[in-house]
Amino acid sequence: MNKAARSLNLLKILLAISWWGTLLATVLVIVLGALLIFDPGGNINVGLIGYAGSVESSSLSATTRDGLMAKVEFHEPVRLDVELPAEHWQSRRGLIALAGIVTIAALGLFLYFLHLLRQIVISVEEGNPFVYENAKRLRKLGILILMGAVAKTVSELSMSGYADAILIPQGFNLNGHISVDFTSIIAGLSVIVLSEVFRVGAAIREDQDLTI
Amino acid sequence: MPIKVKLDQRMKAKGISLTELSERVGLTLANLSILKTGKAKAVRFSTLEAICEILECQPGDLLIFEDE
Repeated sequence: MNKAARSLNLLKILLAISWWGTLLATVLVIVLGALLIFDPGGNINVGLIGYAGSVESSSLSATTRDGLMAKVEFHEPVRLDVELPAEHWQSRRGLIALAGIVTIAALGLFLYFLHLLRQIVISVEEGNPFVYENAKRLRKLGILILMGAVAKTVSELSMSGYADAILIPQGFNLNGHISVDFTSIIAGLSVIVLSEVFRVGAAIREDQDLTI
Repeated sequence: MPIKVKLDQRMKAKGISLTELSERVGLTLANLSILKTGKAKAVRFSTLEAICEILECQPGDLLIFEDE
């Protein structure tokens, strides 16, 4: 087996692991969601994401190895994981159901993302990657990456907004911070550009195939 | 495409089948079929040369322009 075939096989294995792992995660989310909504004991805690500003850092200190004092401050806004007790959620099962539906939809889209990647790998394995279908798949992948970046921003803003509304912070302030995932946006745009390259590649390939 | 390939008439006139022509020209039957049915987007000079040699004709005998 040559190097290219080995790396393609490795890619197929990694994608298969991701596919089945995501499928398992989706099932777990459905089970956990059902437990959270219908659990009579209510022993499962649910976390939130918040963004903290004006964090009290006077109790923090650090010295260099040769004994010099270093100034320590948080790089604000600081991302926080806030875990709320089960009692809080008992009267808010609708919110949990909504979060569950959004999570399942996100996992479903991620499964579709992986499916598209696997289809592209199959076409590469068959020695026929420059086809219109792959251009369309790449375009869809790019759009999904952009959608993921937007969804991440919106979900984090919603969660931090909710945390801000229900919590009384001590030693810091909570604020609704908009975190934009520029890396994903650039990655999504790059994949869309690549899809256009593939569209032209597919046209050239078709011309070549139909030159007798 | 307004350019039509008139392979049929020349093949009939020479009494040669598509399979035989494909073997003698050195093309696959599938590719020659694409050419015969007018699905080809381009023809190489080398292909045209080989077909003309076997069918004893000029390129103009094989290709005609029909305004659609």
